[in-house]
Amino acid sequence: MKIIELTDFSAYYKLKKEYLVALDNISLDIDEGEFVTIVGPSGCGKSTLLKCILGQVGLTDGTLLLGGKEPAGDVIKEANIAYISQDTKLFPHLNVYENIAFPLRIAEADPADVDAKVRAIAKRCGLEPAFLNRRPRQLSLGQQQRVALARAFVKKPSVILADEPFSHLDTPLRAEFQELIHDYHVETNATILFVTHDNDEALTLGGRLLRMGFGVIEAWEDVSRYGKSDGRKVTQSIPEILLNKEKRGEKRPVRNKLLYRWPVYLLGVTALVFLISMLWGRLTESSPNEKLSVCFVGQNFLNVEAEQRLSRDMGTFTNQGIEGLTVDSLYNDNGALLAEALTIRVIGDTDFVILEDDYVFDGIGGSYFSPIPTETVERYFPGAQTYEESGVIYGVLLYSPQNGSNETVFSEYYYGEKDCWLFFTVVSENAAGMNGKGSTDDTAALDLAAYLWRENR
Amino acid sequence: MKFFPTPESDLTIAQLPHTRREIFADICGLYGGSLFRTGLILLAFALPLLFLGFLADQNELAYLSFAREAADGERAAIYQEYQLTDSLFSFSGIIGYMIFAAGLSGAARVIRQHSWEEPVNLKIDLLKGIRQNVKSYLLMGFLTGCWIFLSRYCFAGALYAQGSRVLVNLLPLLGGLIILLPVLGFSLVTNAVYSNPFGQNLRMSLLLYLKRPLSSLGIGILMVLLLLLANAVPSIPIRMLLRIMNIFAAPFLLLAWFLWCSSQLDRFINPKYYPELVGKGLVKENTEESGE
Repeated sequence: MKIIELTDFSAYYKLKKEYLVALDNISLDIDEGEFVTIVGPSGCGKSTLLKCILGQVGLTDGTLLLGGKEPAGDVIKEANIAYISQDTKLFPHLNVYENIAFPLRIAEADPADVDAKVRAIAKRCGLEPAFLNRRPRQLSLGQQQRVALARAFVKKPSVILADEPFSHLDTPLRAEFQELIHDYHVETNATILFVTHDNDEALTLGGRLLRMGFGVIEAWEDVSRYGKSDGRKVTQSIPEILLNKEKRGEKRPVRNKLLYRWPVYLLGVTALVFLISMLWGRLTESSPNEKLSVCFVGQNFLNVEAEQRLSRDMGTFTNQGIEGLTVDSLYNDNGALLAEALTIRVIGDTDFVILEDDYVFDGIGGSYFSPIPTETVERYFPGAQTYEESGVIYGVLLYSPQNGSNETVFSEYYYGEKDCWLFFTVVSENAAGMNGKGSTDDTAALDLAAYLWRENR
Repeated sequence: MKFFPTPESDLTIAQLPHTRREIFADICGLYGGSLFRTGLILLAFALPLLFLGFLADQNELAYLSFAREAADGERAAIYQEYQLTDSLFSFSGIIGYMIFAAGLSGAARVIRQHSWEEPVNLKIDLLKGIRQNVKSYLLMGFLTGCWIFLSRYCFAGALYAQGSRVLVNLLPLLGGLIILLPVLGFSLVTNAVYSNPFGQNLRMSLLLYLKRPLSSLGIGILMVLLLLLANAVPSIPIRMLLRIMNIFAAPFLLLAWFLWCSSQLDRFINPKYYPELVGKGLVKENTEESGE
């Protein structure tokens, strides 16, 4: 039964404006179980022939039949074809075991079968069981090729396409692999198309020999006609052909990959520089408040319209300085005012907010704000941001406590009432004292502020 | 572009890890990504537990804050209320621990395979591990959840207890730390390695613990302290972050624990009952055979 049939088959590669004829109207039949060795000069279309069978060349003409049928969809899956190349194409992120098991996993084989098959084929290909857990990068080229062979064999493919798989290996190893592939062929009767440019290898492997010229089949030969010592006869014409091609200037120049890809690298480097400069800019970004801006809060603050809240006769101010203000008052059981707490969130470019507490607080004048010392902040508000950092002001005014320790009362009063604003705390100094209502307990004020600080975090 | 140059000479058996310490370094180097992904999967199984932990933390910090602010006479009542509410979270946590244990049963197989230097397919081994170990791990999750519930309940009681009752309330916590946790720690390994009934594996774990009490206790407490470190931080976001980090670190810690336990099993149990498991994963000098 013919497993591969090509009739008047051509394959093309698109160049800039022209088409390169890689295979020119070739016809061939390959029987099931046949071992075909393909030889020919570099660029003559040997690999293209294999790629056409794999369905990897888009521009083709003529008829290609696999097992008597036109390949549709996933050609490899249908025809059970395995492909081995010089570049082993192992998956670097998978270990040896998973690389070998990959075709079985794709075919959704039973995991128990997978394990048995992988271990058996690995052993057959000369891989130690302890190597199954290794990454391909740890293995030498020869060992990687063993893995590639095991991966090709594991699904018992009916067709193996080998594209100069052993050309980079040294002679003893190559001989071992040739024997391995030959034995596999004998055992399984798989059809093998083996591309090589080495006469000795072609003769060693045996079977039918397909000699290709540039895009055409030059001859079919039976390797058994030649003794091993006569190997040169098979490809003696190749250098001549190659020479002629070179003379005609048809040999394609080899491009330096790095040079070819320079725009990509340039783009990458530019993007990297841009990214680093952006990051650096963000890290070293100076405060937007380079120009001092003052927001004045006062003058009937609580009683006028929003537009007027932030103005006073001493200058023009905008209402962009603060976002909101909350005043919470605390009274004792007798209705006497104990404390007031104010929260302001500063927005925009405002650097300073001047609070005129006479108007901010409910009718109590004469108290004043002053920043609390750094050590006090660190003690009562660990981790607190400063006003400059957070842009939020928190103020507490405390009046003379009427019932001793007020912390609990404050806690209950403020629990769950506040928005989650970060704040800087300004505590009045002797506020109540200035109003003749007794001395201010600054510690209690700080406790209240610290409590609110904890709650609002 | 190749990031790793291909070695010129063949990899040999002699280059493979010969000790369990070398296996640990080898697996972390080769399969760090796989262990990290295992942590990610564990994180998915830990989500209910993390959510409950988040709620419990809020509850705990709020009540402790109340208690700090409260007058001396009111504290006991606050702690009692805290004990009740916290026990609701820790009781629900039993289910959370069982869900996490289900994920851990899959991860245990992945870790076991790594500790034996066997090839691992994360998806397949994880599902296989869950199928194989889930019952015993669910039971362990249930036991752990119950212990934590009891410990937290009693610990909260110790906050307002007087005199010797404080010590009594701490007994479940200490008892579990000293006895239950190391035995369950060994059971993590024995249940993943042997296909015996749970009871038999538990007995084996107890035997192992009795053979090496101090080192088991030391390692066990060290790991627990590492996991409980999160609870010592007063900030909820940092607690959550530490817990998530712990979950990602869990596969690495588990690998170390598996390897250490394997060496103990090789010393006390495997030679007599499971000779085929002795030195599994280690390259044997004379036979040129890995632990197959």
